[in-house]
Amino acid sequence: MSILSIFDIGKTALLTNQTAISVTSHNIANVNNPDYSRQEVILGVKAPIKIRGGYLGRGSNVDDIRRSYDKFLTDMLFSQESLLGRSVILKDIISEVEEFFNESNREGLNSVLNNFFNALEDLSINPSDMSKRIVLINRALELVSEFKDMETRLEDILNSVNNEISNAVGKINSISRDIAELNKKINQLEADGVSSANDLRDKRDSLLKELSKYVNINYYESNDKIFYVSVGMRNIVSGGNVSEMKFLKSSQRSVIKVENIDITDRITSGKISGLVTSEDLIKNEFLYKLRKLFGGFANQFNLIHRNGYDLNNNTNVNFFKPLTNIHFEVFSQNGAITSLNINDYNALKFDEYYINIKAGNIYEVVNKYNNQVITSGIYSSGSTISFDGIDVVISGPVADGDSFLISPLKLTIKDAALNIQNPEEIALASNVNSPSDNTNLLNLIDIKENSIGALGNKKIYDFLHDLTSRVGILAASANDNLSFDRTLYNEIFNRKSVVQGVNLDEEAVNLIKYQRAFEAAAKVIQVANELYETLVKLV
Amino acid sequence: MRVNNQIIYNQIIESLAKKNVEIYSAHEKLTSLKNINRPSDDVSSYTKAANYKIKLNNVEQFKRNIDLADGMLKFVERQLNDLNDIWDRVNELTIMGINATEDSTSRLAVASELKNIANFMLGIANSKYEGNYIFSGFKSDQAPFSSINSSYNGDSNDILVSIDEASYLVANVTGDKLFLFNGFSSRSLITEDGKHIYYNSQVDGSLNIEIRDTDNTHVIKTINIKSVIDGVDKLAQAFKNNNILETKAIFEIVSFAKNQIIVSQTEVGAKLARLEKQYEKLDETDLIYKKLLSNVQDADIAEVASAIANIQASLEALRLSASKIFSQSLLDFLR
Repeated sequence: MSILSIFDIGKTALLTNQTAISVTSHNIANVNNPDYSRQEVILGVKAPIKIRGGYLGRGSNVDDIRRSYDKFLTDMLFSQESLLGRSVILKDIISEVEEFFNESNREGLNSVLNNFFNALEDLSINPSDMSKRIVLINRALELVSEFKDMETRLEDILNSVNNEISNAVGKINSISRDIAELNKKINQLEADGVSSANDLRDKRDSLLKELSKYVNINYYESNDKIFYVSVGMRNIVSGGNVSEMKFLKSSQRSVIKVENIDITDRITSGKISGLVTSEDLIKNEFLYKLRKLFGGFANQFNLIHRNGYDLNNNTNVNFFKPLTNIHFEVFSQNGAITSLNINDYNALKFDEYYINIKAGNIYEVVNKYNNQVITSGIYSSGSTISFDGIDVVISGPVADGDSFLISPLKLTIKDAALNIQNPEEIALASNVNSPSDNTNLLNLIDIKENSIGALGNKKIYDFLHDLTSRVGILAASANDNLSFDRTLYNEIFNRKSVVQGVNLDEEAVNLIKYQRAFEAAAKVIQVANELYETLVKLV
Repeated sequence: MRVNNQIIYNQIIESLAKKNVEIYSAHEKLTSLKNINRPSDDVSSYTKAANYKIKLNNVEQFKRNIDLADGMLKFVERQLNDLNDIWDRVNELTIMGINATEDSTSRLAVASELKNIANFMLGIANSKYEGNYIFSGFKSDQAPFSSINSSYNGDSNDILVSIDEASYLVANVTGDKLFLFNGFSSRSLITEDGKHIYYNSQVDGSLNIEIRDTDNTHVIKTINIKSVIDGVDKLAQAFKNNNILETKAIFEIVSFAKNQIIVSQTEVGAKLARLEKQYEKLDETDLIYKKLLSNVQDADIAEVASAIANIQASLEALRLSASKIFSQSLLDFLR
């Protein structure tokens, strides 16, 4: 052994503590980065040398810079991030819808219906009063335009939902690419099989967390160090490769695909899930019921209005423009709808139907909302299929699995208008030449008290209130879910933080600890130097 | 537990956010004065409130209907009062005219006054309310009688007005009840000088009077009276012709016509009383529903205000403790 070895020990002490101070500083620098995992210096003893009498230490070195990391908590945080992402979206969208139906502080569907019926009733003592008839027409116009406004508002949300899904899918793909890039870098840096690319792994975790906001993911690292990320059981990242997610907008429902496989139903949380669920709620519940309400009401009003006589003794006239335009969609190679008419307005239900073709040339008419089979039979090209007041003619060779969507609902509000132009055309009488006859008027007023078949045998106001309650219940539960998910998220974050977070006091202590050790190491070198000098002076 | 800076910051931020939400919703209640500001605040209360609002709207509408019916029936009542008075005068004049002491000159005067009265009655029968002939039933664009001697042009339909959820009230009186002979029971009578008079009401509401000689077979005269107005005119004609037998024969309709007016007057009076009662009842219903609505949707200001004070106090405490925690660091002591 020599005095020089004391220099060496001093040097290793200096370097080790300097590294420790660097790591501490790194921790301090990242104290406010929520995705950062605290790093820790693992000190090791340098291999000793054998001298006579035993082994002599050669100082210290840094064995490892380890990241405090809890995989279980990190996974939990990611999945909670997904749940939170879904809750946030649902809360935002449903609250917005709720405001449309909210009549606490403004006028809405209830008010326009009230105003309409009030205007009708105001005519009861003097049904030929022109000024009151004009008021009624204006109230009817307001009613129609309120329904149109509501529909437009809901459709606007639907559009923005579709845009957001498309953006989210774009974002997911860009994050996937970033992760793939990081995978390559991490593999390079860790190629020696010893060191760990702590900060890059943190960065990848931060990307996974960002990804979790959009969609629920699974990820794992294989034995041969290939890192996979999957969504709905399809890999979107495999090491350095990316399988792009695709979004297909459709009039029915949005479809998310990876490698051409539909994974929409397997996405159960994350923003995308929230958006797809909102889309479904708006299309199949809010818009469906809103259109049904207007269609059922206007049709019933027409049916009764047609029984009456107007001031010019005309009868059989519709008040609202009757539905004539039925929306349809064909999902068939060779089959086509060649004719589509309403044959009986009394039987019209304002629902949507699928005509499904089954094996053996059998057709089945199914209600889209409750999947009930309405009618079925043997398909023959060009013959009429009748159900719920609608006549459909399908022609051409059809195949098993073909289907046709028939919707007397979709255009009800869009095509809505008043059929009558002039106040004298309102048919309030049940007899000709009877300007004071209010019999039909009283029948028209009764509509609000009677249950309507097309509205599931509910009264107009009850149907509307059921719809509003449904929106309210959904909004309330979206609120509750959000606050629950947020609390849970914070809880998990804190638990993760317990392991991974930086505590400034702790770091301050470490700083002093390593500083003192550094000072002592310097002293060691000084002492060694003095020893050396003493020796030199001897000569 | 290894508490660190992130946890403390998060906790403070979360608590501040929670308190802010609380104070926002309390403030919303205070400004809107409502406990429920959207369906999700309380779905069942919101639905209840919506139903109460519809009930209140209906009550308002019934009250408006009652006002309208009331105006119309009061107008009818005035016409009926005039008719009642005028029938008294017809009665008086006829009795006076039939009196044997009168001569043809004074009967001419009676005749001319009766003629005027017939015209006056025609005016009442054809009176309009808000542009409609009020005694024509549904055919309110047609005058019930185009002239004194014409037949009835209206119909016998009732104009119904709903005055509560379950009942209607007839807001008009049709001319056939006041001016036609539908309720006139067919009868015959014998005059002092032995003449036979037969009264037969017809399907069209007119009345046939047949005057037969003492032998009860030889028909002296047949008079067809289209309406009571026509009757007054025919009476005037008889006086003009100084035909006492005819005047006596026609006189029979006066008490019938007056009675018809009185029946309608009673009916209208009863209806007006019912409307008044119903209005009061609706006022009460209105009050009940307003109270119920207020119970479910109105905010208790005192409660909200004290809640705000509470939240404010805890918010201040939170800020204070936050500032204390933030200022605590080992680094402060390392000098």
